[in-house]
Amino acid sequence: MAVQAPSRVPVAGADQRLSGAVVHTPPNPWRRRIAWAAGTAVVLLIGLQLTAGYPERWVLDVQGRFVAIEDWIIQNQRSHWLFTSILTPITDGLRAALDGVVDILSRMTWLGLTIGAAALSGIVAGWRMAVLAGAAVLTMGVLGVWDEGIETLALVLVSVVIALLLGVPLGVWAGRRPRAERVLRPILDGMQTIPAFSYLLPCVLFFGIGGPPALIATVIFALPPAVRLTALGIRGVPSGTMEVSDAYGATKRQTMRKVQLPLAKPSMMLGVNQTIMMALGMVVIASVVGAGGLGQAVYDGLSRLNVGQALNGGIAIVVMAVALDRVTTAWSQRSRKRTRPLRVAGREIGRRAQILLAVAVTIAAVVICRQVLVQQAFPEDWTTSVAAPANAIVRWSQANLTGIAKAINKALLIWVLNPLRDLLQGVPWWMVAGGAGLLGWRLKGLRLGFAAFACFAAIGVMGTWDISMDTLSQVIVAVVLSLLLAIPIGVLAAWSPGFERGLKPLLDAMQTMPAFVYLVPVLLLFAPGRTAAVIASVVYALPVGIRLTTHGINGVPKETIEAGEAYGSTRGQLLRKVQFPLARPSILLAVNQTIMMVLSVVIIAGLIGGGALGFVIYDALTNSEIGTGLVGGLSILFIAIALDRLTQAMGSAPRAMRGPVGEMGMGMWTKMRAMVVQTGKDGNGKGDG
Amino acid sequence: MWAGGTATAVALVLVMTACSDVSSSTSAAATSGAGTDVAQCGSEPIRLAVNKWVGAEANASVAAQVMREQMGCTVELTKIDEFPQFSAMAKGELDATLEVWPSVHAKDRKDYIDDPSGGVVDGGKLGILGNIGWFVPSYVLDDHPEFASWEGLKGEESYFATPETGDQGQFLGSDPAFGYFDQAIIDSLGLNLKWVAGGSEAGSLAALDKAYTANEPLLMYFWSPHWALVKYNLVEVKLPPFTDKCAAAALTPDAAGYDCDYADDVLYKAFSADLETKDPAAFAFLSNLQWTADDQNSVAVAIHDGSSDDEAAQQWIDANQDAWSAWLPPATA
Repeated sequence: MAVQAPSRVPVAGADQRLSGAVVHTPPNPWRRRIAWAAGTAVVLLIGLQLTAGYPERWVLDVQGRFVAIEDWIIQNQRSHWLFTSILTPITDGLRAALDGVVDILSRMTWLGLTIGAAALSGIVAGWRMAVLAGAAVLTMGVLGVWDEGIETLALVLVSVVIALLLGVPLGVWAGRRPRAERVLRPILDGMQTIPAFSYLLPCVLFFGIGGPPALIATVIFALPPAVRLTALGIRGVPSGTMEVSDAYGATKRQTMRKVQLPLAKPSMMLGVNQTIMMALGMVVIASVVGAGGLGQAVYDGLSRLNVGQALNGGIAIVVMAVALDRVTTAWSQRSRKRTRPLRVAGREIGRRAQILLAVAVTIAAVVICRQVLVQQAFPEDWTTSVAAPANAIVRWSQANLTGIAKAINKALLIWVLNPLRDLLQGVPWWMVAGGAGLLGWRLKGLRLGFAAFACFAAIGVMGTWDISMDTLSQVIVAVVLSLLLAIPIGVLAAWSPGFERGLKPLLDAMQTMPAFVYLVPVLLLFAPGRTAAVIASVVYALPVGIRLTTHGINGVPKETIEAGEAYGSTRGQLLRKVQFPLARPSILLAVNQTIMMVLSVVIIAGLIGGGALGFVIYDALTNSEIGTGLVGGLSILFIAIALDRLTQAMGSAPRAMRGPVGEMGMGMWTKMRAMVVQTGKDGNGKGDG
Repeated sequence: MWAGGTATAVALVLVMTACSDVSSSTSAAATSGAGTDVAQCGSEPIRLAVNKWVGAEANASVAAQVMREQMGCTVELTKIDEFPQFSAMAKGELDATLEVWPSVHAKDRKDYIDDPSGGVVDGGKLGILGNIGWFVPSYVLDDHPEFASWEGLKGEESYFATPETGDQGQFLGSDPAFGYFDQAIIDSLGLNLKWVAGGSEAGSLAALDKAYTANEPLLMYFWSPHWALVKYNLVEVKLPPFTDKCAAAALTPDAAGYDCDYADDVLYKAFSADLETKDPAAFAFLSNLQWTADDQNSVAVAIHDGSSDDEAAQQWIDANQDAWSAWLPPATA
């Protein structure tokens, strides 16, 4: 169990509490806390009297330079050698690869693809996964999105292959040289945090429309986990093992091939899993540049206000994501232990025979489907649609829940969102930046303090201060709301395994469902505005918070709890005095991850009335002001870095975790998934079966 | 294990490519059934952009259907956002787009069409007048007929107040991709309205749907032609007529001083500069294509109500032979 490793940063007696079963009562901290709160309030009141915001004369014209670049591209894209002899061949190659995969998958026919997916999953991950994979492929057909599903699957496959071809070598490099890792880290952070929208449209200028720009953008987004987890695996090889290898006279290359790579395999497999999940996350947004596929089905539903239509595509994406996730996870877990041989009627079937069998069955299925049934796409008579019932539910809630929605909207705006925004915008910039700096300094030291201050100062320099503060206020509110919901639900799930089992598929669906699908119902209930934006962000961020809370509480050793019970603690006491303190790293990680999730939907929030940075970025990009768009994206990045580092410093969770996740400052999904994967195998009796 | 997976995949690929004779291209060019006096397309596919609004689907699906049936063309439809399409036409990845809103694409027009090296040409009018403006649901006018113009609105703005705007009236903006001068109009006319970012067409439609089901006040940026105007019965609020002064203000960054209605948008088509040489027949047909807002709406409403694009297009084609046969270029041309 990784999370219980003692925290290395001494935070308010956490070491003491973490280290043993006996719980000491720390000295009453309230007096100091009240003093701090009063001091902060006084400072803020003074701040509101001073000049608000960031002075305009200190703003740099970052945007102008991008505009010059864009104009140059438009002028030269038909003639310059950069396009004709470098980018165009790359684009053509990518398009051919993608079209080839689509073609192959289509020609496999629906029956062949179902059997083939099942057989492949069966070989690498066991018969349960075979059933899951086959069912997932059939689901695409049944929901009537067969062709779209094939296009999306091809996009995901090709982009994952490219991401791995690039990411694994980079990861090996970063794993062996700390300096390389230091150079790569901020770049990888940027790739994961800058909204895809900011670079998707510029991609079109370089790579045209359709598959190629979508592939490039997807690779940008999906590359970081491949690099990070490979590096982590390489670095995780014990130095003793390396020395032994040296001692036997192995060359560097031999050590790498025979020792480091095999030992890094579990971590690299998690990287594959994460890369796939990230790639699927780009599917909807990729339809903006003509990539088609399931994303287009979702997008069409949105522009027609047809929840049900969007849901067909959305469910297909969820099912594809869940199947790919489970299969690759099972595969990576199997690769650690020796696989039990497959036995049929008492006779062992060898690996080679299994593969031959799988190929034979798949070929048979293809031939039957092509020659006997004469079908290629999924037969239309067998399709069904969830559109009608889904739309009925939306209608019903619109008719019956409007009153509640109205009250929530009003309360949230008047009592929470407006005051917070007015406060952040009303005080001078240096007070906000200084506050962040002070917090960083107190949490970890001067370096973090400077970094936090610099992040906020950079936002001012780029000229997006006011709207960034507007965004920040919405982010804070969404994070607090998410946690207020997630922590109790997470605790409930930890207490009741039955509840947790029921929750699991729901959380899976919430995490993989494209946000565009539930935007429409949120909009229909709340109308566009900041409330709708906050609610959508909460829905998006909730599962992570719930999972990490449950994980933390479940991770408390049984003996500790038994000891507490033996002393006659009530359930509430146990929770307050034992489970929460011990689950602290995990819960703080939940805070951190919730913030990252909320920040990653800022643009989407802008599309439904959140305004602020999200709106500005979208506005800029659609009006060909690429510079403004990228500056907006950078502003989000700086907010993200500041909040991420600060919350990471609060709990040492990411450092304390071992196994597949460690000290590289994992991006959002990676950390979260790693924890969930661990939960699944820790065998504390509550993992999934 | 890797080897196992790879071997399977390779084997499958080999099999797929080996026995792939069946129905690989069932959707290839349909029969060119019409008379021989109509110019026929070349063998290369004509690629039309389909933008994300339903009206654009209507344009493209009707054009594609007529070209396939009457001219033997292979037509590929590419769903794509309206901004990337210009770059794509310049590079020859797309051949044509059928509904460009001048107010939205002023910069694209300058960079790609007006500039001779831009690679895109003006394809003539679509025949529809686009109209951006301020709209209210018609039931608002039942109680307050004065809201039919901005003068009547003045002083009564708080009727449109929401929690988001407090005492001020709310004006709901839309997708920022469409040109908008609402803030300047509000300031210039001295209206006590607060502009709220709607953010997207979906946002506007949801607000509209929500307002309609609850009979709530709503003042919003909207435009015609749009299927929602048929479905929801919206009325445009009269703003001062468009002037040269506004035309000048529209070019400034904040549109300061813009104090009138939006200019009419004469919707036009745009083609890749290479289309005329690539396929003269398709070029001639697409240049001729013109129809009315009512035509487009009849197709768009059918699509919105659940018909497939092809069905909706076919219905219109069956009922309007005179309209589309005028688009067909003669064979000798």
